Amino acid sequence: MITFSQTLKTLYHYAKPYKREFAFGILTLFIVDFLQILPPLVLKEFIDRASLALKGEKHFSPFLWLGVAYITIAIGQSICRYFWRMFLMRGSFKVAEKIRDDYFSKLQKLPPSFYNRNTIGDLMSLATNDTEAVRFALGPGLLVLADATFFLMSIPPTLFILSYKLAFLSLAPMLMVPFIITRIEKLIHERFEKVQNQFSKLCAFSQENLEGIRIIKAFTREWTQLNRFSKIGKEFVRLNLKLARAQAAFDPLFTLAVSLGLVSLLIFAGKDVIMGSISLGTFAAFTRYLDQLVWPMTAFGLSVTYYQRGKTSLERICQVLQEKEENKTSEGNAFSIPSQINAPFLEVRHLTFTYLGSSRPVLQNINFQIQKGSRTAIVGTIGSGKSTLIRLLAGLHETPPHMIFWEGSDFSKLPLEERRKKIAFVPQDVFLFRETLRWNILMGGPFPEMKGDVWLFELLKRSGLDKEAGRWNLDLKMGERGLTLSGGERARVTLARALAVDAPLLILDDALSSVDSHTESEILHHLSHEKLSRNQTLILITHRLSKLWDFDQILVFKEGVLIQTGMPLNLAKTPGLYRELLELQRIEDELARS
Amino acid sequence: MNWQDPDDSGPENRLRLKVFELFTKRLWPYITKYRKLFIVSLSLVFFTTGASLSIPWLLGKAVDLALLPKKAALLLPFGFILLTLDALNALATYFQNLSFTKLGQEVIHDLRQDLLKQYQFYPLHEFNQNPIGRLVTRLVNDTSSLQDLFTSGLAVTLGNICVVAGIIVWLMVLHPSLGLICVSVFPIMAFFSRFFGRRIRETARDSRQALSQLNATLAENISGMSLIQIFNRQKTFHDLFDRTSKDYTRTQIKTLESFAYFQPTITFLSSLSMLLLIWYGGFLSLKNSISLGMLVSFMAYLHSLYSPIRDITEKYNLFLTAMTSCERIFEFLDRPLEKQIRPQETQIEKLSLQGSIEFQNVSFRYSQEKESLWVLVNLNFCIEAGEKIGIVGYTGAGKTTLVHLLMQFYDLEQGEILIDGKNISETSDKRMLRQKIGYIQQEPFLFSGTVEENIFLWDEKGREIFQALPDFARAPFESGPLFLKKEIFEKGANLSSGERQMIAFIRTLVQNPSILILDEATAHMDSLTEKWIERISKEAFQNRTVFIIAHRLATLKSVSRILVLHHGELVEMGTHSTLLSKKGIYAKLYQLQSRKEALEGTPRI
Repeated sequence: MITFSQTLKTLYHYAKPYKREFAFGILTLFIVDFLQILPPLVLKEFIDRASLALKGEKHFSPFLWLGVAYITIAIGQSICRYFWRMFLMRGSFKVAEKIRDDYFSKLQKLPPSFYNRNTIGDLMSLATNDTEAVRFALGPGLLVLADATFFLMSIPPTLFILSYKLAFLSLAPMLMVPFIITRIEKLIHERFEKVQNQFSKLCAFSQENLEGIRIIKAFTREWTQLNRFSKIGKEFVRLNLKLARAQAAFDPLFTLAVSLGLVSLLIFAGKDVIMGSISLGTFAAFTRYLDQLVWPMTAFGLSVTYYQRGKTSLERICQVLQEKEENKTSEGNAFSIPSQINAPFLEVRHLTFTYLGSSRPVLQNINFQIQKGSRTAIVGTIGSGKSTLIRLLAGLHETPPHMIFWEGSDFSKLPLEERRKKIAFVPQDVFLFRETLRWNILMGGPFPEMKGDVWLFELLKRSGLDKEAGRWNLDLKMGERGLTLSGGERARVTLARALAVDAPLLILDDALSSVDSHTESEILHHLSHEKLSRNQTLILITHRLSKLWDFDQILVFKEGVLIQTGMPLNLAKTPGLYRELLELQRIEDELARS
Repeated sequence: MNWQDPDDSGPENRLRLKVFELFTKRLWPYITKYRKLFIVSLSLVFFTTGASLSIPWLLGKAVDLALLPKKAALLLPFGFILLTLDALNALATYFQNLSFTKLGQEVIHDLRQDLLKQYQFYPLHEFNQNPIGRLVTRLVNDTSSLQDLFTSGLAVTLGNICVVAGIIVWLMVLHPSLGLICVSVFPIMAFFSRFFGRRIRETARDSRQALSQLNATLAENISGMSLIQIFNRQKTFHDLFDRTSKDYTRTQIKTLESFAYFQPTITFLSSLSMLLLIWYGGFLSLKNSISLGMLVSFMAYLHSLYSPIRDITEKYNLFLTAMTSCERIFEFLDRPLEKQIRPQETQIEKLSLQGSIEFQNVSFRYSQEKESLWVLVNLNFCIEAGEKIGIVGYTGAGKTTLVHLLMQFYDLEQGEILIDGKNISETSDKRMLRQKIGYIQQEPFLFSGTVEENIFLWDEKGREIFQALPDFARAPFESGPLFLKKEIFEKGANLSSGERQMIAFIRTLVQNPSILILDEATAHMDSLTEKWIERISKEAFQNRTVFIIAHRLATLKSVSRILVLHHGELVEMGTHSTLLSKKGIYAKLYQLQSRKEALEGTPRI
C-alpha cells in the first residue's frame, strides 16, 4: 500500500518534465471556465434591456454590441479549449510513455526468478492497462478536478454578487450533494470490489474449464459445467445490478438538486421578480448558471474514481519498479580481473545450489575443472541438475560466491554484463524473435553494425544450415510468407546466433535434440575443428551419448551429484552410470532406426 | 489476461459494413428474448424525453403567465407542478438506467453462456489451435466491452436520440421560424462531424493497431527476456520497444488532436446558434410576435439540444469497440461443433456396452493437408469384451492418439472403429459412448474445489457406486488424507502426483464405464499409494475391457495381450512372453524399460 502523499509524489515525479505543458493546460482551462461566467451575464443584459423596451420605458439599443461580445467570448473559449486539451492530455500521454519506458528498462534488469513468479499477461497488462489508468489519473483526472474547482470558484461567487437571496435559495439544495456523494461513493466502492471478485471467479472458471476440456468431454460433463458457469454468471449479474442501483442514482440526483434550486427560485424569488426588486434577466441568468453546476458535481465524483484507479495501478507498477534487480556486480572493484596464468579456464569448487523456497539442494558439492579450448559434455539422468549447473554458468541464476572461478577469479564478482560477454549460450527452448532471420542471427554478434553476407553464410554453415540457407530469404521476418522453419532448423538458427557472439565459452543446453542424428554429427564435427582455430571452449548437455567419442571430458550427474568424470573411452570401459546410459542410447538408436 | 493478442488486429478493417447486420441479425434476437424489459426501458426513455421536453416549456409558461403579468398566486402551483415533474423525471431516469443495465447484463449473460456452450462442444483441434488465453478473452473481456455498450452506451444514446428528435419536432411546433433558426447550424455541424468523425475513426484505428503492436512487442520481449539478457542486447531491444511505445503515443496524440479541433468547434457552433436564437428571438419578442417566456424556454431547449449531440460523438468510439468485440464473439459462435453430437440435450441416453472393439484399416493424421504426416497407419485389430490390452511404443509411436480416437476426440479420415460391432462414427451422440469409456490420464487434470466435487464431478449419480466400492477403496477418502471435503487448489497443486492418480481412479470408477483406458503414471509414487492403485486396478479391471498405455514392467507382464506401436504402425501383437521371444521391437522396448527402471527407479518409455 502506498499513501496519498507517496502517490502524489510519484505522480509529480513523472509529471515534472512536462510541468510547463501541465501548467499551460490548467491556465487555459482556467480561462475557459472563467469566461464561462460571461454568457449568462450577456443574456441577463439582453433580457433586461428587452423587457425595458417592451414596457416602452426605454428604447431598445441595438444589441450588436452584445452579439460581438458574445461571439468574442465563444471564440476565445474555443481557442483555449483546444489548448487545454492539447497541453494537458499530451502531457499525460508523455508521462505514460515515460512510465512504460521505466517499466520496460526495469523488466530488462530482472532475473529469471521474477519471470517465473509472474505471468506474461499480468506483466503486459502493467505496461498497457495499468499505465493507462495512471495516465487517466494524471490527464483526465487532473482535468476534471481542476475544472470542477474552477467552476465552483467562479459560479457561486458570481451568483452571490448578482443576488444574495437568489444565490442562497438556488444553492441550498446543492449543499446536500457532497453528503450524498460520499455516502454513495462508499457503497459503490464496496459493491465494485465484489463485482471485481466475481469477475475474477468468472475468469478463473473459464480458464479451468478450457484447460480441463478433455476431461469434461471424457466424462460428458459439458452441461454440468455450463450450469455451474451459469450460477457464477448469474451471481455476477446480481452483483452488477446491485452496483448499478447505487451508481445509477448519481445523475438523477444531481439533476434533481439543480431542479430543486430552480423551483425554489421560482417559488421564493418569483415574487421579487414580480415586485421588480430582481430583474427578469437576473432570474434567467440564474437558470443558466444552475444548469452549469451539474457538471462540476459529477466531475468531483469522476476525479475521485480516476484517482483511486490510478493509485491501485501505480501501486502495482511501483511494486515491479522496486523489485530486486539481478546482481550486476557484488563488489565494485572487480571490473577487470587479471587472468591468472596457471589457473584453469573454468573451475567449479564445492558448488552447492538450492532454489529459493526449496529445501533440497539441486546440486551438491560439485567439483570440476575445464581447460581452455577443451570440449566437455554433461550427461545424466532426468532431474540430475545438469540444466541448473549450465544456467548457473550462464548467469541465469544468481551465482553463489567462491564456487565458480573463471581463470582463477571468482565468477560471482565479475559484473554480469562482462560475464555474459564471455559466454555464448544456446538454450534448451528455442526462441526466435519475430524479426528477420538475419536479425535473429546477428543479435548475437556485432549487431547492429552488420557484417557481410559471407560471414553470415559462414555462420550458417557452421550451424549445419548451409543447404537450407540457400533457399531462404534472410530478410524475411520469421513466419512471414512461407518462412516457416522446422524445429530442427530453428534449433540450428539459435546455434548460429550463439556462434555470432564469438565468445570464449560456448554452451549448448541440450539444444540439438530436435536435430536429426546425422546433422548433429556434422555440427559437432564442425565445432570440434573450430576448437583448434578459434580456441573456443565448448560445454554441451546432451542425451545422445553416441556422438561424444572425441570429447575431452565427460561429467556424469545423478540426482545433483557429480558421480563420474573422465574421457569417454575410459568411462565406457568402466562399469557405472555412463556405461548404462550408453547402452540405453544404443537400444534407443536401434529402435529409432528400425 | 486483459490484452489483445496480435492476431486480433485483423477483423477491424472488415468490420465496418457489417455493423448493421451484426446488430439486427445477431444481437437483436438476444434482446428480443427480454422483450418486456426492453419495452419497459423504452417507455421509460419516452417518459424522460417527455419530461425533459415539458420542463423548459413549463418554465416559459411560468414566465409568461405568472412573472410577467405579475400574478404571484400562480407561482406556487407552477413550482409544485415543476417539482413533481422533476422528481418523476429523476425517478424515471434512475429506473431507466437500471433497466438498461439489467437488459445488458441478462443479454451478456446469455451470450457468455452460449459461447461457453459452443466451447464445450468444439472439436478438440480448436483447442490445439487457439491458445486458452484467447478463448477466455472472448468469453470474459469481449463480452464485458459489449456490456458497456448496453449500460452506458445504449441507454444514453437512445435517450439522446429521442431528446434531440423530440426537441427539434417540438421547436418546429412551437414556432417554426424560430425553430429553424435554432437548427440552422446543424448542416455545418453535420459537415464537421463527418469530417472529424472520419479522422477520429482513422486515428483511433491507428492507435488500436499501435497498441496491439505494443502488446506483441511486449509479449515477445517478456518471453525472450532471458535471451536478451544472455546476449547483452538490452539496449537494442529497448530501442525497439521505444519505437513502438513512441508510435503508440504518437497515434494517441493524433486522436487527441482530432478531438481537440472537433470538440471546441461543436461547442462554438452551439454558442453560435444560441446567439442566433437570442438575436432573432429578441427581434421577434420586440415585435411582440413571441412572448419572453417562449424565448426563455427556447434557450433551455437549445441547451438540451446540443449536449446530447456532443455525447453521441463521444459514444462513437465506445460503440466501435463494442462492435469489434461483438464481431469476434459471433465469429467464435459460428465455428462448427463436433460432429455427431446433440448439444441441446442435457440428458444423455443410456447405453449398455459389452466392450468388444475392432479397428479396421484405421489411419489418422491431425490435419488433412497434403504434407501432414500420418500419425497412425492402417491399424487392424480386434479385441474381445473383457480383454486386458497393453499398448506400448517408443515416444511418438501414436499411443495417446489411438486412445483419443477411441474417445472420439478426433474424427477418422480413413477406416472404421467398431464397438460391440457397431461403427462408432454412426452413433447419434458421441457422449453416449464417452459415458461408457473411462479415461485415466497420465497426469490427471483436477478442478479447484473439494475432493468430493472432483470425484463426482458435480453429478450425484456416482455416489451410490462409490458407496458400493470395497472398504479399502473408500478408506483414503473417508478418513484418510483425501477426505471428501478437502479443498483442492488449482490443478491439484496441494496434492502429490500419487494422490492425484487416486482421485482420477475413483472418479472414473464411479462412472461405471464398460471400457477403461489407463495411461499409466510415470512419476514416482510412494509405496502405499502404489499398493492402493494396484488393488483398485484389480477391482476396476473386472468385467471391463481395459486399455493400458503401459510404462511399467509389471503391467507389461500382467496384461493378456500387448499391441506394439512403432511409427504409427501396429508392428507386433501378442502376450509378453511370445513377443519377447520374437526379439523384435517389443524385446528392445522391454530391455530399455528394464534398464531404465533399474537406473532411475522411475519407469518411463
